[in-house]
Amino acid sequence: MSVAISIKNAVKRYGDNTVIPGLSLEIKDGEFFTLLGSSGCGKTTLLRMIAGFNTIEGGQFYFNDKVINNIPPEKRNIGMVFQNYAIFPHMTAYQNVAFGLEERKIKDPEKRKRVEEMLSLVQISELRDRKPENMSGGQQQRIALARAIVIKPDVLLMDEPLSNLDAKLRVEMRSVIRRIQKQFGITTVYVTHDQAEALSISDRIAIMNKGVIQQIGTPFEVYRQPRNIFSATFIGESSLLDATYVQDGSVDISGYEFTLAHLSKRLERGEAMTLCIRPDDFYFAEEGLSGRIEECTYLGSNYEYIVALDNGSQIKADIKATGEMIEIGTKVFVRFNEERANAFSKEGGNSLMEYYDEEEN
Amino acid sequence: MKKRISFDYWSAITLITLVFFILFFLFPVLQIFIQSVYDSASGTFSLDSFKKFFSRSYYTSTITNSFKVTIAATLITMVTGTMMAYFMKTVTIKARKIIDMIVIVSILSPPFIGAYSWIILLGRSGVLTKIINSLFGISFSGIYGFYGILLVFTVKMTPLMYLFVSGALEKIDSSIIECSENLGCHGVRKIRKIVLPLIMPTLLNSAFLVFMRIFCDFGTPMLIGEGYRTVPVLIYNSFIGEMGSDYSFASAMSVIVIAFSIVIFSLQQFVAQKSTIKMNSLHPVKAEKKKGAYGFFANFFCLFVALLSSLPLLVIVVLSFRRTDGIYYYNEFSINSYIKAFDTAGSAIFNTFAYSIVAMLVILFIGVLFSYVSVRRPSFVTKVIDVIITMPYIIPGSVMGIALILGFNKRPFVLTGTAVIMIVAYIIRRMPYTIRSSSSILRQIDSSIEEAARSLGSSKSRAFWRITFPVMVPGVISGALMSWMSIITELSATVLLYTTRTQTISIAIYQEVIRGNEGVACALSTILLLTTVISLSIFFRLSGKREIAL
Repeated sequence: MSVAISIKNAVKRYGDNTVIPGLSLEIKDGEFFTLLGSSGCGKTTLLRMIAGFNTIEGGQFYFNDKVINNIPPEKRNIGMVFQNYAIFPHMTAYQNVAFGLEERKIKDPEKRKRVEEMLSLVQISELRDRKPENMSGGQQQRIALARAIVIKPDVLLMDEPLSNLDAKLRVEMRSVIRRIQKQFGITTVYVTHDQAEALSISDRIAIMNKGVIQQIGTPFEVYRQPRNIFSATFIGESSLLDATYVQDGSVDISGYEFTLAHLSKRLERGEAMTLCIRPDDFYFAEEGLSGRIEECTYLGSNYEYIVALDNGSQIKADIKATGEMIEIGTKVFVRFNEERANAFSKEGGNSLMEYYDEEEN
Repeated sequence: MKKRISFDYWSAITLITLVFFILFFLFPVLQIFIQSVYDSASGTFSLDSFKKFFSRSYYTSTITNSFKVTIAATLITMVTGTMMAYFMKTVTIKARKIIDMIVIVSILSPPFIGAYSWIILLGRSGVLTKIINSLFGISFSGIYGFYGILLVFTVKMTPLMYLFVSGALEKIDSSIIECSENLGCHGVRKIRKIVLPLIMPTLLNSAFLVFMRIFCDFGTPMLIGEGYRTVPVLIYNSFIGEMGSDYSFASAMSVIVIAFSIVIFSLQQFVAQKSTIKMNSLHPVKAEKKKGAYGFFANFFCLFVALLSSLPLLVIVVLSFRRTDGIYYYNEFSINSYIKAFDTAGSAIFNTFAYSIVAMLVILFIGVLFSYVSVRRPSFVTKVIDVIITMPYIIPGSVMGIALILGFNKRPFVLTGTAVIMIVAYIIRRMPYTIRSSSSILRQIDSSIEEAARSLGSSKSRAFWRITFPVMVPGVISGALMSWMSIITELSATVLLYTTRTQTISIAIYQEVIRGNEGVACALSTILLLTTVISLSIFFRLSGKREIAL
């Protein structure tokens, strides 16, 4: 049976150093929830507080309605998958997976049945009697996953489980994890620094920076509707352009006017803002912001151009590689998809889009 | 979650370790310091013992003697050990595997066997002495004193130095050597500018280690030194000597030795900190076939070192099977010496095994559990203990022996003459090694496997016993075997502590040599040697490697 997790004002300190200054979070029952951030942002610390391996200096952690702050890790009924797999090196694959069941005093034949089922689910039945020393990282990770899930945990915690795998295996394991999580419907908290991984695997993502949550949202929301400039630049690539509000959704960029589709209704004329535009939202046109091609790279399906604008900014544009590549030094006019651009206040960096009109900025 | 200080059994282990080291190490060593400035006649503070030591060259000469022979032997082994390591790693040497085995067995063989068998070979009536005298018509009276000690230590320590240096050479990536050649650096210049600087930290560290071993050794100078007396010999003599024991004087000397050890140890730490080079080699340098004089010399040198190291052991084994009446050896095979050995030293054999096994069990129990606390749950107390346990490294065996006598020869702790004090001596001398090696094993075991176990429902202690402990076991047992091999050959501390009832094999050998019962001494030495070889093969089987780490 899985649970909803709610965290109220969590505080983590190491000595005088406050790593998490007071964080609140609701994770729904059965949800695949990802904590995303660069190293040192406190995401692993928070995960280990949920697991019970880190002390909690303040706030409450709930599984459903039950406060778990003082429950030792072994009584929380969590399944955890570690970055380095943490496979017990002296046990075979079978013994590893059976371990948690033994600790729960589950005897054969049920134990055997559940372990065998789980091994075949993660497709490593043929490795059941092998010790981990001769296994690849992917195989070890499958054992780790099976070992965590076989105990039917209330919560599955995963700490950068794919970061030690090579790129191809990582993509493959992503779908294994996703498939199994959905099949069992276990509430899952997943920690990663890899934004592509977070976007592809999660129901919702929390972007963290310096122990503070910057934005919580679906992959679509965090990518398309970043709540602040940190989210916008952390997830995916963005080019930044300075702009000033004119009126009725139109903004001025060095004398050239654009009309943004979803700009907040509360803006005042002359307000300074920063626009964030994704590389694939740029295109070249007969008129627009003028500049020169500075670099160009052929990426197969796309050309990636770095353009130095005449106003001093630099942008990155991904253009479909249908025609010839434009040569370095060529003068171009740049426009962008006005439906999809995001604007942020110059001070504070908060979103100036209508999606966030309801909230106090 | 509020932090509650609870008394679980990890705190119990910390407490036991602390009490053990305070009672059996700090307390007795403190007695040495008190005794050294205590005038037993008047019962007052006095520096007379120190004055006595420094006023007579008869005493101070032991310090110069010790330093002379130690420095000379260390310098020679630095050269010979490095040469051998370089040859073995870069030139294809015939019988390399056999040479390596000989080297390891000779390192682990009882330390005083060397001195004893060199006396048999090159002593006053030695086998080789006679041959030399009749060949050249001279009256060479055998190798004793400075040159005797120097010979024994050079032969004994070259293999050890070789082992350390070849470990460092193994870490040099062949691409570094190739690169230096590519840049035009060849031959001697390459060795001087690239190889030597890279192995220098290891070389210096090993030199200090060898230095301390020689400086603290008691058996060798005692047996072969004759008039050339070193500090440990003087300490022993003034404690056991014919003119009655002078506790205060022996203590004063011990203090002086401790002072020297601390200086040398700090120097070593300083140098080690200054000069560490991190190396990681994917492709170690491969041995190449070398032709001509160089290849011949390299082969000759390595074989010669192996021969010299194995010679003392061979002599002992051969003599143990020859019939002897105590003075002469006859050219006949006989197991008489063994029968005699079991007759006269049967209890010594029993004691050796009994004491060493009890000591090992205690060492393992406390050592493994404490290392766990110290690595995984460090606290102020464990840090204090970590500091205390480095001290036995720098206290020579004979000083430790005296400390234990001073600490436990009067109420409330009367232990002198018992088996307990022998076992305690073993434990104190070897426990630091076990704690250190278990700690390093633990550091290599990621703590996440224990957390994984806890997330799967194990309590803290269950996670240790079911997961971490079993993973540690092979490494710990290998380390224990190493400790055991050095315990069964311990002489310098126990020779001060034993009584006829608590004699061990190594003491019995020493006694028999002094009494001139060489056949029995050889038989006992062979038994020790055999035990070492058997332990070693178990060690190799367990560790799966043909290497030892000391």
